Amino acid sequence: MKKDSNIENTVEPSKEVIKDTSANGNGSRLLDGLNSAPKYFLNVGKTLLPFLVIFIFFEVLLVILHATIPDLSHNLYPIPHNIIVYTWKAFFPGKDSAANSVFIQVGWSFVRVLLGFVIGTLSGLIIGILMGLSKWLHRLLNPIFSLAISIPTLAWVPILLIIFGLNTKTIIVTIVLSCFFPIVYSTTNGIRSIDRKLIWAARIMGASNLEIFFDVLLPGSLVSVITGLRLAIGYSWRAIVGAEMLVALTDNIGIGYYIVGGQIANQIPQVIIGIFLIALGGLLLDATLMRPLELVTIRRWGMIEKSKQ
Amino acid sequence: MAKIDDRKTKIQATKLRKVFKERRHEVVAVEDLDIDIKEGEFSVIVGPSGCGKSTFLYMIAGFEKITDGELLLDGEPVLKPGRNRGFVFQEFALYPWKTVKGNIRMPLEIGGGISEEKIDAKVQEYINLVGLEGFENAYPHTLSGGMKQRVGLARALVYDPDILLLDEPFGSLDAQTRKIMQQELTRIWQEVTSHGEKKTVVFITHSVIEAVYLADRVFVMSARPGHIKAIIDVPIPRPRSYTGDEFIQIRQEVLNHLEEEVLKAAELYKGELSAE
Ligand SMILES: Nc1ncnc2c1ncn2[C@@H]1O[C@H](COP(=O)(O)OP(=O)(O)OP(=O)(O)O)[C@@H](O)[C@H]1O
Ligand SMILES: [Mg+2]
Repeated sequence: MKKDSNIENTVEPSKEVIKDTSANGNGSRLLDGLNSAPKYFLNVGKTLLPFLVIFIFFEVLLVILHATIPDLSHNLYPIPHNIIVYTWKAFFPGKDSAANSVFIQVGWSFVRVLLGFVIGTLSGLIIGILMGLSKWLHRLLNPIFSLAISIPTLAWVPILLIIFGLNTKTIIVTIVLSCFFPIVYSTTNGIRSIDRKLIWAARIMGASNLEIFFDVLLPGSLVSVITGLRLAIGYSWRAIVGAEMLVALTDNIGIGYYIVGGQIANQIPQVIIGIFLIALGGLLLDATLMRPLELVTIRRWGMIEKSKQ
Repeated sequence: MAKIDDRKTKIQATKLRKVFKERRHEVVAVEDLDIDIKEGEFSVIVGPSGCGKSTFLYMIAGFEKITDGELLLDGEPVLKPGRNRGFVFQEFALYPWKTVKGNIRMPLEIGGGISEEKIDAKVQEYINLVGLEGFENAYPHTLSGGMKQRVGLARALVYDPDILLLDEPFGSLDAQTRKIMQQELTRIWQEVTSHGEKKTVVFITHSVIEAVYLADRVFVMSARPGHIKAIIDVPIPRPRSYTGDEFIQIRQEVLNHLEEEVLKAAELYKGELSAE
């Protein structure tokens, strides 16, 4: 009898939710559904509004410009709605066109990013874990990595160009570097900052070093590692554009090349489309890789605040 | 119940000393600590803040190495943490990535040698013991403090250690929950036995009321460097209440011993501040 009455009055959140909906009954839930659809569009609308404002602003500005200066180049000073028309052509150039579809350009960049990301992350995780586990290794390598992490990845490119030449290898190694350093840093710190009491709790139940590694250190460092992965994806997506721009002269493919190509061909619409695709690509990588990973791990475990985002 | 003095010694410290070496100076956390805790005894240690209570408990647990003296469990020196002891932390130290069930299972999975069904049955038994039915699959962050500490208790008990070490386990709970947990701990301690013996408990607290409510014997520690300054028997039969002449009288006795030490600790603290 003691047990039941003594439990504190906290209810599992999920249970509360279940209770609420059942109390509302079917009818009102249906109404909820109807109500939430307009809300959704309202939210999307709120997000898109600023873009629309900018679009209209430049539309008006450029129409006026072109009206007052008749010789103004439409390629260098495109009217926004023409860019939209151009976008269609960029994606679907047609069979007779010599140009690659921008799909292929972006696709290539994605492949390079993923390849570099996988290599850089795996090697970063290994080094990071070793540095997290060994005080000695940490003392030895930490000064080097602390310095390296503040170097913009593109600063390495001249050296890479000398080693690997003007080709895809250089681009991929650039991506590898842009992932490697943040991952090493976040993994090392993630492991080193785990509450020692979590380790003690495992020790007293007789856990071996291996069990502590897999049961405590790995999951315990995940918050930090995921932050590192996020940084790595962001950095690598940035670095790919830079690297492709630098290597563009010989390697005629990739989103970076596409942008430089636009500049060389005096096609500003192409540049603007490239910029938009970079932004979308970054969002997409985050939404398809990082968000789901975060949702099933650290968010579910309450290791980061749900309200933060 | 046999008189305390007749029982077998479970935990014995002689001239125990612990020094923390910082870069520039040393902190003597524990010095000349002698204690003799009997098998099946519920011992509670109180003492001013920073007097080395946690340090002492960590040494029993094997988390911290002793600097000098002797610390024996069942006559054997403590070398490292192990399954004859269970530990409950003030901050719970639950694994956020494991559910309630997962946290309580962990010691059994680590121990190995038991079938999945036996593990499940055992885990359920302890979930029921601490009153967490229905919360098996909840993650710790969704639980209240009191419920988290129930998980902590179950996790420390599920592999049946002889010794249960608790470092201010209810220190972060509100007053009401704290009382409930004190009653629950008493009930659990009386229910759970290993080889027919009650568990030997070392419980640390700041609260004198909590100490007198729970303890067979209350040990008052001195200001740093910590040693045992007074031992007060609490011969009140269980279940206890927080009132009654005997309770209040013993509480006063503990308070008197403690107050002196708290004042000394405050002096020490002031001294350290002015020395800096
Ligand atoms: N790892 C450490 N390194 C250096 N000094 C330490 C370490 N752990 C504890 N100390 C010092 O040893 C002394 C005793 O600490 P301890 O945590 O055991 O005290 P306590 O009695 O548990 O205090 P509280 O009541 O606040 O929990 C303190 O002065 C503390 O600063
Ligand atoms: Mg303490």
